Amino acid sequence: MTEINRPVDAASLVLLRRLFGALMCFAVIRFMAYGWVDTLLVDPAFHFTYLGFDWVRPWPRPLMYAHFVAMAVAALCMAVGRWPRLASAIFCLLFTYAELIEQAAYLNHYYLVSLLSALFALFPARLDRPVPRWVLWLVRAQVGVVYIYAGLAKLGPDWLLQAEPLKTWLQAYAHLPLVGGFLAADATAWVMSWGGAVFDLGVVFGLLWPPTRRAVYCVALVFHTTIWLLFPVGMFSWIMLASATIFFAPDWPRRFISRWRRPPVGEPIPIGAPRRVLAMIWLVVQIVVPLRHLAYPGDVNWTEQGFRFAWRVMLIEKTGQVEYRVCRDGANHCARVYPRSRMTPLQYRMLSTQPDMVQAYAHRLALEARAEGAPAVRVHADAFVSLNGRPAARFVDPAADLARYPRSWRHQPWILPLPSSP
Amino acid sequence: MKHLIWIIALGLCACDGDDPRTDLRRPLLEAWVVDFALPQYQELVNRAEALETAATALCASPSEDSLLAARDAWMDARQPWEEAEVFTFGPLLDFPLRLLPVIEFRPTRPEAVEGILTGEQALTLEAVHLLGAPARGFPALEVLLFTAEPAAFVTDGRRCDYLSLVAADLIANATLLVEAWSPTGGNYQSQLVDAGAGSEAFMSLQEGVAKVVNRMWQHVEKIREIELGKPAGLDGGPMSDEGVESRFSGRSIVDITDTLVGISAVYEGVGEGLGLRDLIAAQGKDFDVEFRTRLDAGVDAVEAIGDPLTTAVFERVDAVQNAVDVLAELQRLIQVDIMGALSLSLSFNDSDGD
Repeated sequence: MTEINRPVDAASLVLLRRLFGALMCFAVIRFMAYGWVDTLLVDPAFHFTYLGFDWVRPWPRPLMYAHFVAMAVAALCMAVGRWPRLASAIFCLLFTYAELIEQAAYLNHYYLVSLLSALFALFPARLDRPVPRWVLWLVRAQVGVVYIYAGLAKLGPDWLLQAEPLKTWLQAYAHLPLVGGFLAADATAWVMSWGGAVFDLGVVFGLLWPPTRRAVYCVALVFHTTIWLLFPVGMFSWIMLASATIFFAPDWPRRFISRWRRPPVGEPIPIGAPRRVLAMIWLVVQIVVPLRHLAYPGDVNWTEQGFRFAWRVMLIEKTGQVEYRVCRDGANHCARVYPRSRMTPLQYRMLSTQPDMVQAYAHRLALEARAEGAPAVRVHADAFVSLNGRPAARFVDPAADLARYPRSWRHQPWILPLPSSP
Repeated sequence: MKHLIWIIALGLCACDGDDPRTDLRRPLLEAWVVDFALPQYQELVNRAEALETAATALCASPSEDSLLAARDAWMDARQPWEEAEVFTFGPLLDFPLRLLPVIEFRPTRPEAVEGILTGEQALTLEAVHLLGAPARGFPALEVLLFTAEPAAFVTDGRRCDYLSLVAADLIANATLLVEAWSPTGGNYQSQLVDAGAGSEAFMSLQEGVAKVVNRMWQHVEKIREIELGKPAGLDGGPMSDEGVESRFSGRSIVDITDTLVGISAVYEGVGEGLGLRDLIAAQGKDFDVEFRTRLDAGVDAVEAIGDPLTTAVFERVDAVQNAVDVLAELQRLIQVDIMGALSLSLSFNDSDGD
């Protein structure tokens, strides 16, 4: 028996799945209670869709709520250990569908939720039988990828040499009694920037090594709680704190939960070749996808090509402004379109800094113009962004006809480079 | 939960002993309301009263002079209203008051005013309070004053009655606005000034500041899109003077420059009072020269369009286009550079964070 197939206790996996289910049940109920089903998914007149997922549309309002109720029930089943793999699969499908409806609502931790629930659905974990060791390590790798890529993303000049955007963000807390001066001090931004990078890069190894495990988890508690207190990161901190327990000893929950004391017996749960291959592909994809930005020219924080699905968490303070010029052949001048009044505030805020969304809306404008009978239409964008305190600069070539370029994963030549001057 | 943890954290940090860093945001919010918004709205009440007086004089003795005096009074009353346009939120938009439509319903609908003039319903102040928004406020007064000759006020007693009552209605609504903001009334002032400290409207101090700064660039955009661009057909639609603000009085250009003057006051502060520039300076940044340059250029470009705007949107489209483009620079400075420098868009997502 090879080392990776050696039987290992699945208790830590089972506990993570249960914690995850409980968190997701709470998160889904919270999502509904805050009215986000309406504001993010049902109310918008149109949606920014992900490339290749244009077919994903919101259901009518009652069905959308039914969708979320079903999601909460599936999460609850995961939490209490009822039909856990079926519940995980249903939750994964429902959650991912909802996530794919609106690109403007993209969050890194939504993506993580989809991935973890898919892993829980695909691979078994039971208290009474061991699993092959690689199953545990696959989930560990998934969580480790998040931390390590988040750490690598921080190894840039803005984060390390300017302490931005933390220096700007922390000014918002200057008014707090006692801690305000501390938080708003430049030194705090520097310490948090460097400390955050070191934490992200080292936490996985610190948790895996038994002598440092307790201390590093305490640091993780402080780190994630601080992030949760200071920034509107919602469930992100709690998902990561739960996920970080996967680096503990595989049987660690049995020491604390009396009903789980009896160790697993027998052979590992058999997993067929197709799922073993799938696990390998999964791992490769998770390692390669966050690196895809290296295949594009320019600074990923500016171009955002390869920014999503890459664990580039809390890296940028971006504000932008976008307007369009829609030019119909034969018209005396191009019509100026101000998109803000045509979409939700969230959609506009995301549109104003993200080139692929600028292009997607240009395509929509072209479509509208053609539907009104214009035979030939050009759509240009006047789009400006300030990144981490830099002066506003154009990030879209104003001469480029965005309607002419298809949406694709290829480099988009109309994205202008980050100006070199400060 | 967050509040509880904050309290614990504050307790743990009590040993720190440092005073909190001077934070200008709350004093700035207070200055914006106390030094600017409230005085502007009080001035609106005063000028609306002067307008009512002039309307009464006009009806008592209709003549070219008395009509001109009433028109001037209407023009004067517009100034504080336009200058305070950045503060178009709270009592102006929120129920139950929602005063904006009954003070300034756009676009003007002269047919609504004509309907009242030719109608037979009894005209009392109570009846006017119940009229639809298009038949009340500044636009209705403008139609009454600027589309009639003095003789109309002699032969048409109903016009005089209606004029006086709409002027009184404007006073009442402007007074409600002052009361809504005032600490002795609805105290919306505290909603803004106490942002993040008990305010129900603004959950954080940053949100309170962001509200005002967002309004600054959004009003520049409104000028470009709605007040200049759309009437001139720059949106691809037909040219039309129907959407031009204050189109019967010819005050359209001055309306716009008044709004820009108000935006300038919010940035620079009133007198020695705090302005947005002080908050920016406290962050070690400086946009003063750029702001002044772009604002002045915007005012110049708008004035260069030339009165009346109702003609310019047909005949001087290039000048209108130029003003739209020049004002884009001012909008960008506020929307991108200043918002970014102050991190006023800090909310990763309307739902959750990163």
